[in-house]
Amino acid sequence: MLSARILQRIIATNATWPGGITAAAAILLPSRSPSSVPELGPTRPAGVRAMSFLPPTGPRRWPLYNEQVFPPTGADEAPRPAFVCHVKTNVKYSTKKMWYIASMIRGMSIEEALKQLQFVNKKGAQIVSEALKEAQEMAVRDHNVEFKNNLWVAESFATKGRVLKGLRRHARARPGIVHYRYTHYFVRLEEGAPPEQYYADAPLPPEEMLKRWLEQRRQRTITHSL
Amino acid sequence: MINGVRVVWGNWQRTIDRYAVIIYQAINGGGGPSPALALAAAGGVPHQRAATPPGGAPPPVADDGFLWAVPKYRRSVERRMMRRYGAESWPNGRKLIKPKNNLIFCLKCGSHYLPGMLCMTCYNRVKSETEELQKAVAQQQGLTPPDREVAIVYRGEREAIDDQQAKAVRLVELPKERPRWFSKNLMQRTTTPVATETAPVKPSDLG
Repeated sequence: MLSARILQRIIATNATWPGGITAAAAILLPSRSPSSVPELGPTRPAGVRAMSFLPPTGPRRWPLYNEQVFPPTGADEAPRPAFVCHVKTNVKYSTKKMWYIASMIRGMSIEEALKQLQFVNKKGAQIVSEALKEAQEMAVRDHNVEFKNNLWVAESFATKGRVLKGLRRHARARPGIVHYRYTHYFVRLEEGAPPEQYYADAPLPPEEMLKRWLEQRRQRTITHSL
Repeated sequence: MINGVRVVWGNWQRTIDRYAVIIYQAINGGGGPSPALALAAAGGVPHQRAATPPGGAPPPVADDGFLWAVPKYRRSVERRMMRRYGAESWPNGRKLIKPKNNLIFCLKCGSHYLPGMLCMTCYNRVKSETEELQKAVAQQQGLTPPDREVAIVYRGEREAIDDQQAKAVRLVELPKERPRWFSKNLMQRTTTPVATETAPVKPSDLG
């Protein structure tokens, strides 16, 4: 979680995020400033110590982004698009496997994402489809989105949940540890059409590439020349 | 009581972590991994053996392959990343899931499907209807051997069949309406009149 000072410095120097979010950046950074997100309360009730056998609390900050209150945009500013943040916690799936599905749908419109997920032969595809449909419903019901298909996937990622361990037997009475992995899946839908390129380092069209190459060649100078 | 169950589960998880190491140690007689903290918490290894026994090093056990196949070098992060996520220019190709661009749109129900396959929504709709019909037929048939053709009749279609025809077939009446997509006319080969005069037609443009 970056502080407001660091965020401002990044905006001022026009640095790109790792992974290079372009269209999402302008909308993402201001809304992620800590001052506008509601306060996160204590993890557990007062007097209860954190112990490994207590049920995991899971991510709590992500849904709070929905409760931000923004100042009204001016007449000359572009209208702020509606967004909804949704998380599916403690899903019985591995984060490493979920990454592939989460990264596939980044930057897609929700219709396209749901269509493509139908043809992905993985358990995570079902989980992500459900999460997208829930988020879509939330957007229309609570976040003033007019058309449910006018949404695109601005952020989609998965993090590690609680890992439970069990024992198994290998050959020759050798023990093995079985990891029962859980994951949290996060998605943020934004209203509007998806951007042409989601990542900043996407390949340019051939004409653009040629133009850039020519520019670079023309900028060459002979050192110590007149 | 729930707190008691949680304590037991937490203890079980901690026990697994702790005793997996001890079991390794016990079987291999002091070899294998030995994190000191876990062992200290457990109270030490039950069977302690000297690093070099008095009669010299023991002969290697032929059937114990515990430490035979081990990685020789650490995998660099570049190789790890290439293996997991791939790269388009490499022979392995991308490991990422590629979105499909050859999906076809079903004109009857509006859902997408892969070329060369049936539309799954249409197929499942037909399948569920078929199962219902089969169940109704089986219920009526019971254990009597099939001796007549089965005619399935939906609501409002019984009147179209006269009694003589009805006696010749085994009539199965369904209380539901006929689905819109289920045509009554499946046995007729074509609705357009078949051409009776067939003469060879010469192409006029070829000269």
